[in-house]
Amino acid sequence: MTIKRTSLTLLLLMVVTTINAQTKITGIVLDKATKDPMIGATIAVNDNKNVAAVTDLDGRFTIEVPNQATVTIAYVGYKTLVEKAHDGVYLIESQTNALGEVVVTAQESQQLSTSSVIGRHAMDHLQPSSFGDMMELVPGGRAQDPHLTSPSTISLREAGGGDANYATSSLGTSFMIDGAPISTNANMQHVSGGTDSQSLKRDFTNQGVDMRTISTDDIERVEIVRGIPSVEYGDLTSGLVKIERKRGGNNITARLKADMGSYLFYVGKGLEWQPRKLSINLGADYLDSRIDPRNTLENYKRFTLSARLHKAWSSERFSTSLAVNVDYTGSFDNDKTDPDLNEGAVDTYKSSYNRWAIATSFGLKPTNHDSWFKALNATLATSLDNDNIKREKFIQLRRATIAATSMQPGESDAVILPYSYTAQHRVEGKPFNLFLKVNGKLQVPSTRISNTLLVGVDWNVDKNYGKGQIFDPTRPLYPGMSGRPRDISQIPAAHTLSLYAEETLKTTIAVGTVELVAGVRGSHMMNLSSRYALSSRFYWDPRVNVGWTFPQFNVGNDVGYVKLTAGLGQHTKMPTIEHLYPEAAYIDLVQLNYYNPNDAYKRINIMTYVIDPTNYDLRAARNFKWEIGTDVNIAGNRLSVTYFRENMTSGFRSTAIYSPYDYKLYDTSGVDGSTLDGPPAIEDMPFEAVRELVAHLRYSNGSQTKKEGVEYTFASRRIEKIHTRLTINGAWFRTVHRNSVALMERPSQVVGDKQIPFVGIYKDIEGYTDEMVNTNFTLDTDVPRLKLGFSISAQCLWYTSNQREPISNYPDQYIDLDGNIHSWSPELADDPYLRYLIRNNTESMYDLFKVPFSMNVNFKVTKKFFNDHLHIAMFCNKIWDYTPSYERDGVTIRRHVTPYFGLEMNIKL
Amino acid sequence: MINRYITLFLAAFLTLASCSNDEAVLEAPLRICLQLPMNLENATLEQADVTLVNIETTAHYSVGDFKHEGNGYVATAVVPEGRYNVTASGNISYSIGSTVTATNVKAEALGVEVTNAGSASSVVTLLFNNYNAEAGMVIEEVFFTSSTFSGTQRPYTDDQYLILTNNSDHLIYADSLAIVESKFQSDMQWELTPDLMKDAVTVSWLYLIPGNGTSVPVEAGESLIIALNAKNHTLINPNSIDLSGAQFEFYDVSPNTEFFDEDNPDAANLIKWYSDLWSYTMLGNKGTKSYGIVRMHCDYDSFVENNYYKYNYLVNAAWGTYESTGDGYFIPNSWVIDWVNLAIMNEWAWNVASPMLDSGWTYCAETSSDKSRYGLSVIRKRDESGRLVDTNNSTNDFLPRQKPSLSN
Repeated sequence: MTIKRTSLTLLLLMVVTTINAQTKITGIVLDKATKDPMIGATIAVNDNKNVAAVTDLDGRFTIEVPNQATVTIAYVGYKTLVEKAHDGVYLIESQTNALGEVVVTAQESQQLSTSSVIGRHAMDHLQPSSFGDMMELVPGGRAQDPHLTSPSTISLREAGGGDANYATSSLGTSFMIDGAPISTNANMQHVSGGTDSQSLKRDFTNQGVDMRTISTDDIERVEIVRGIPSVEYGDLTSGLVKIERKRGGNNITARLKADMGSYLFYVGKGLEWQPRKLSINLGADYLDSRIDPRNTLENYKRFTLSARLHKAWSSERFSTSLAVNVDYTGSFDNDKTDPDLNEGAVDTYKSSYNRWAIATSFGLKPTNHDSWFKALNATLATSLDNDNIKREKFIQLRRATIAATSMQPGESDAVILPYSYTAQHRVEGKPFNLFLKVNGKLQVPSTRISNTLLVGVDWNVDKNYGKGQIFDPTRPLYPGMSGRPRDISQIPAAHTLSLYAEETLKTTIAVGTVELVAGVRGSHMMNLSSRYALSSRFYWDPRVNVGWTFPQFNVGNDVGYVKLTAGLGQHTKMPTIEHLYPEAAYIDLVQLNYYNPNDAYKRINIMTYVIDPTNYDLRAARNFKWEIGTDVNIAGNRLSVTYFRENMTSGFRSTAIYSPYDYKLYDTSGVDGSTLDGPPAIEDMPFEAVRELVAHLRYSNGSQTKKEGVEYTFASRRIEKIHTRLTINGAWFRTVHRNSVALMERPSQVVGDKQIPFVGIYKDIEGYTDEMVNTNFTLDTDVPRLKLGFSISAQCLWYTSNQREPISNYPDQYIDLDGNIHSWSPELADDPYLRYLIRNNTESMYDLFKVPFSMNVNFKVTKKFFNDHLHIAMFCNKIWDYTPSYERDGVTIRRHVTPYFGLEMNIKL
Repeated sequence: MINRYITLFLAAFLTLASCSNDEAVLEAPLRICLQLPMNLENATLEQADVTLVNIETTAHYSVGDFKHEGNGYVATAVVPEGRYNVTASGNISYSIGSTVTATNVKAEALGVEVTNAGSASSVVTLLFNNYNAEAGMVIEEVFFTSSTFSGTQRPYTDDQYLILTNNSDHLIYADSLAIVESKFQSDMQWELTPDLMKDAVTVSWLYLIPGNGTSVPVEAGESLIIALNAKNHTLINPNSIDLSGAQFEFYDVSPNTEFFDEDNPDAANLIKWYSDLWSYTMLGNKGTKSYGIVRMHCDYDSFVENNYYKYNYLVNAAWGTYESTGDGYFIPNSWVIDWVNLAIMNEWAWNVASPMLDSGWTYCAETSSDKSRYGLSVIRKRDESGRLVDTNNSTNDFLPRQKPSLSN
């Protein structure tokens, strides 16, 4: 209200003061380097210090000026421009990035939300094989040898790694490529019951995006939002990765890279017809990686194809644009055991991901700039995967083993497995995603306050059309395990509808510039049975970022400014299809175990319970973040520091639920084996009714991840004489991973002839605090005359530490064989059975474990030849290192570092 | 036995009586000191019987009333002068950790001279020994490595077995003998607190031979075959062994399909008292676990009540040392009838039982990944007389890396 009134008053004032004005001009303010519109730049006329106008969403302003007037255009972080008033474009120059400046590091974005921006130059200099390599540039990152033979998931602002029970951080980091999401909500590619490393290490279900699958060569710009993203983006808890790919150009580019574990080949072509505002970009890339250059049996291959069309039209009333992207990603893991080392037996694992995606974006802007309506954007994206895991293994049983095969609850006979067979297990997944997003931007015309209201809605559908777990239960891959085939195409689609509104305000007053982005996003899961608590829940995520920039000050000939930012917000990640529709648990209990030397007379009878492990009370995972930061810019040298805290207590977790199950224990002592002519009948056989406590797994909101830390980036201005610039970035992270719900554990000991018939309920199962502090010092030199760029990066890891939180050795409660829950009392510690519920943790397990300082020095060089047509680049990570041995408890721990090299050639025609 | 002593005693009495007329027999006091084993904590003598046998006359004298004095127990006997063999047997109670346990003890002294010469009376000090193995039952063979499938050479683990043999010259009943596996491994030495090693072995499982006391007679020189799984394994794997003749088998009843175990009705099942793992039982196929046979001196309820052992130990991990806690059940050394320490030849770090039980060790595997261990066994040596060698030193008593005696 106040804002409106102020603007009206101002408008009136302007009308009065400019009664004699002659000209009305319309200008557009753009960044000189990127040509991005500058929103909220202030325009002053002649010597008048008062702001006469602010630019709108398109960087546009309209003012009436006297003849021969000059306009002064100011924008924080940019050199103030004073120009003769005219219609048309005004280009303002960033203080940090001079025109044509080469930036080979990640830069802190100028936006209010904390994010790292990685441009094309940085990627060229980094020489990545997959998106995962870029994480080196983010505060807290360090160059890692690529381990491309197993999936790589993202970890933002996190020290230490949690296990799969703490994967909500990576699951809750959303990846958007040209506005379309990479949804992993329907990824169910895991080998059910898998216990072998081949299957386990490649299982990334419920862990988000496998960054290996994202090739980097078509990428123009990446923004990694570590802080609080706009409410436009949802279904995330921890972060947002926005990838924009190249558009336009008329080049053929090719890249050939080889490093110690892989080679990569990329070719791309851009086609652009500028007058017709039409462009087409094509790209293809192939990556071949081995776990070891000499090992041909364990490898990873990636093949991507991309075709992107962009067309723009202008009419009298609207300018419109249409982008259509068609992409294919193939990602293939192979792991085979050498038959020569495996007694000639087959043992293979093959996993293939084939993803086809089509995304269409439509944008519409009115040409009438006085309109309140500023833009309409719509995106329709869809993707379909054809994913397959094929596991084949020759099984030779070490002892007699049975398989339960009944798909129905009740009594049935088990199958006695042959001693050798070849097991085949296939997992077929066909995740389908449909994403529709429509939003509009509105702006109240104002000469004082730049304002934008974003209103939008999105609808996300995930569904899996695959046949799921396919295997013959009488020839199981994991003998003895109670697994069954499962068709996942029967699972209903998951629909999420979200709507959001966000206001962006910016105004400059005498004491500084105030910026505010505040919005709320509501999301709701649909197509759920009313049994799910989620079916009636709407999640509201309010998110606010504010900034205050003090007026610019002079430092000698240069200017400086200080900006303070703060933000807080709620973030919600809906459960995945696997979380909502978990595989049924088959609880098989052996009731009869009759042995006869004659195989035909043996009989094993089983009671099967089919348990629906669905947790209908499962909620979305929510992460609350707040942060404060400052951005100090003096003469083009910039320091950004952010302190943040995040707390997510409802991360997804797979927990064991114990319940009692009844079955019969048949007494075979009356069977006379010599008189049988077939397996013994059980109808008249005496039995004892018995009971057993058995667990099945259920997803719950039982994991807490608490993050705290400081991220900092200092980037100096390039020192002209030595063409060199210094970047210092790093972070201090402290992360706590712990269970947030009580969990059950059953002791494994057998006292007498039965496993301890009690289950302990423990409030605390685990808690870990990890810390790390690192600083990367990067000196990069760019000599345009020699077409040579090189960088030396000293990556210091000051320490990492890990400490377990003390937990009580005593259960809080326990369950008996009848399923009754009792409270624990200290005198039970002497009970010969219940004492096994006491855990064996000792004080020394809670000692702080600290790994001291280490430093790696990385060297990278790029050189252009033949009029920039050929570009050779090389990197050597860890070319020098300082990794001293250290002592712990009198034991000397030696650390070894091996350098990692790579070389590449780029051709641009 | 008793009859024989009575006869001897009568004979001795008659001899004495017949001599008494000829010359005066001078009597002299003999002070008998019984000392309890020094390695036991809070040991008290519950009961003791000392018998003196005159070497010349074979006359027997009994002494039973001992008094606690200093750190021993004392009684004085007045017997005719001469040379005596003194044997003592008794029962003592002592503590292992916080548990009070009891054991039989014995000691002897040969040719003790009793004279009246001088003022001081003769003194004999007997040190009780609490290792009280019944001479007789021994572990003759442990086939712990199991075999491999012919062709693929992959392990087949179902055919492990032990052979227990009566090495005495009399009948022994094997009822209620327990077969145990050590909790600790010979390739991983731990500093334990409290450390019961000098008094007890710690077990990871314990199975009892079923019987009412006389159900399982084992004649002198006869053996019992205890199979992991009593069946003819050669029908499944020609490389394996026919164990269908085993008298006993390990059977772990479990409703869990993953832990399925076959139960041959022709072989009696051992009675399970304890296992630290809910799965089926197997012998450690590398030979890092050791095995023993035990005469249980208590019933199941008092065993689980009293023999629980919780200990701390230091783990030296690659990244530092930390204290961990473990638990199991202990068996007093005095209950142990025979013990065989096993190890991997190049990985031996310690013996997991007191040297009183076994001062050596034997093996099949030479290195921890030695695949040639499969199909090999450890077998006790026989002396010239055909008797099994039992010096409580497996290095000496066993032949390592042998072809299993039951393989064809």
